[in-house]
Amino acid sequence: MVKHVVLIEDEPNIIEAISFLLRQDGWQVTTHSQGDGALEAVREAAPDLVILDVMLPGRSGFEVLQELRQDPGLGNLPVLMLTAKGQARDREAAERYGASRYMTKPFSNSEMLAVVRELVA
Amino acid sequence: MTTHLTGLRIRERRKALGLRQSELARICGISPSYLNLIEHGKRPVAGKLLLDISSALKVDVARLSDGTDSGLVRRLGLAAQGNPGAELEQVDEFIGRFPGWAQLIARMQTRIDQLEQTIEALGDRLSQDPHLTETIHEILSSVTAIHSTASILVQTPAMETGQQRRFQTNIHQESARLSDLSRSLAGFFDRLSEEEAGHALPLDELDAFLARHDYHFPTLEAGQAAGQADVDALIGEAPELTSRAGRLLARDFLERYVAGANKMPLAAFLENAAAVAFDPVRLAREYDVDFSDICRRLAFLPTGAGVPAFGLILCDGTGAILLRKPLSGFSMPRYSPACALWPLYQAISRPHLSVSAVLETPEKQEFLAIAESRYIDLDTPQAAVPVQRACMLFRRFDSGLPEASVALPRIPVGPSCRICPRSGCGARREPSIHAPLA
Repeated sequence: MVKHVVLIEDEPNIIEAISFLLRQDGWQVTTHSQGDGALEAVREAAPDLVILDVMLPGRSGFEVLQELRQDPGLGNLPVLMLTAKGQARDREAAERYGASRYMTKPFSNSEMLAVVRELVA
Repeated sequence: MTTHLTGLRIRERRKALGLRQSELARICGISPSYLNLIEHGKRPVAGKLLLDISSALKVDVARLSDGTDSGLVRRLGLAAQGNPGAELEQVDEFIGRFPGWAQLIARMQTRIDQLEQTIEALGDRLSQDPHLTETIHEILSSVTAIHSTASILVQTPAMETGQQRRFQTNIHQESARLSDLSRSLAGFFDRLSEEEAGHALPLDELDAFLARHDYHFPTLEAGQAAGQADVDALIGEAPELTSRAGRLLARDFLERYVAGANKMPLAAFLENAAAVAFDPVRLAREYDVDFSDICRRLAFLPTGAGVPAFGLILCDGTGAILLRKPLSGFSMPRYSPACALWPLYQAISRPHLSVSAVLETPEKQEFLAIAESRYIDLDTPQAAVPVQRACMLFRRFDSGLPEASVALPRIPVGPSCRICPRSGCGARREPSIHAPLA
């Protein structure tokens, strides 16, 4: 069965690269490029995994994650956080809000694929 | 160093007052022969004894000590903080016996304070500058896109030509963005190093600039003829204005100075001021200008016969200092917030009402202070938020004061808590580094 991922990210060229990689790897990819409406997009897609960028226009990735975790239907969904800030503060925030994994940009493609496979295994 | 001069001045001043050596010695609690040695420069004099002598001679301690003022004790106290080995109780003796070393330590302490401030400012700048944070974030995003896309191009064996072409275009776009970003980042650090070259805070530069001009600018007193060119000349030739921020502060100050000088021409102003005992409230009414404009005018008059020496401090509603003119005998902290009992801060809580008091320093010197604050008009998007500016003018409480000042309340104040020796003060924020004053 085809696994479904929702990618929430605002950089168009990163969206294109990640989408290509995941599709190559056999994923169905839905993208959303801002914080606003992210929760609705996830709810509608009902995916197996969410890849969530921290710095988003509108609401931040942390706010979206918090809402996801409080939602009864989506509370247990695996979420991979992406951020361009590798600081301890952000990592702590990601853990506190309940991210399944945390990855700093720039990342290697193979690392990213390994992590998403692991998260839905 | 200054021992000989100080002794000489004590002797001259004592004789001018018609005071006998034995009388002065008794008042100060020392033997006449010891005073004699001091007057002849055979014994050093400093610290509390010098303060006692100056107060007995009704003269400012700085006039006796040739610049080695009472602030020296304080600055040495600050230097001793956190160094328990320093014999703080013998600070007077130390200053007396090693005046050169004492000055050196005080100057180094001031320098350390300045450098700490600079480091803190630079640290804030690097961790909180929104432009820098944003630029770094964009660089990382761009690098991520390039790295990921380039890997795909290299590692995907047979890619459809349209897709391949799109990825190449993306890399091209991102590399252009990256070169703009790196240029902007390099520019940021260039500006940073240029601005901080002087290692001093902008307000310190302004202080040094004003002090070098003795707080008066004759070239700006030419009536309507004074203008932009004179301001430019003063700023252009100022070695202490090393940063752009410092030059901006100086320009702002000098432009207000010119406006004040044009509105209140010097000769007439001196006459009018003398007629009302240099009372800023009456002068503000007479000239129909802001209280702070009058205070600036009074504080930056030429020193001369009949013109009292004024000190001035301007701050905003947060208490941040905007401008200061020191007055010997009245300590103003350079960086930490000042004594909460100063009328300056009461004025902030009572806008548009003037607050006057006679301030008594821990060294028992008295100053007449008058403060007022007002909301300023902003022609910026922040105009809806009321912003306050407060101003306090002060002078020695001696002769030639406005009549009303005699009945004013007397307030025992300090410079700022850390270096204030008073005990039992309800306004204290933190313990003093000095033994409390009984």
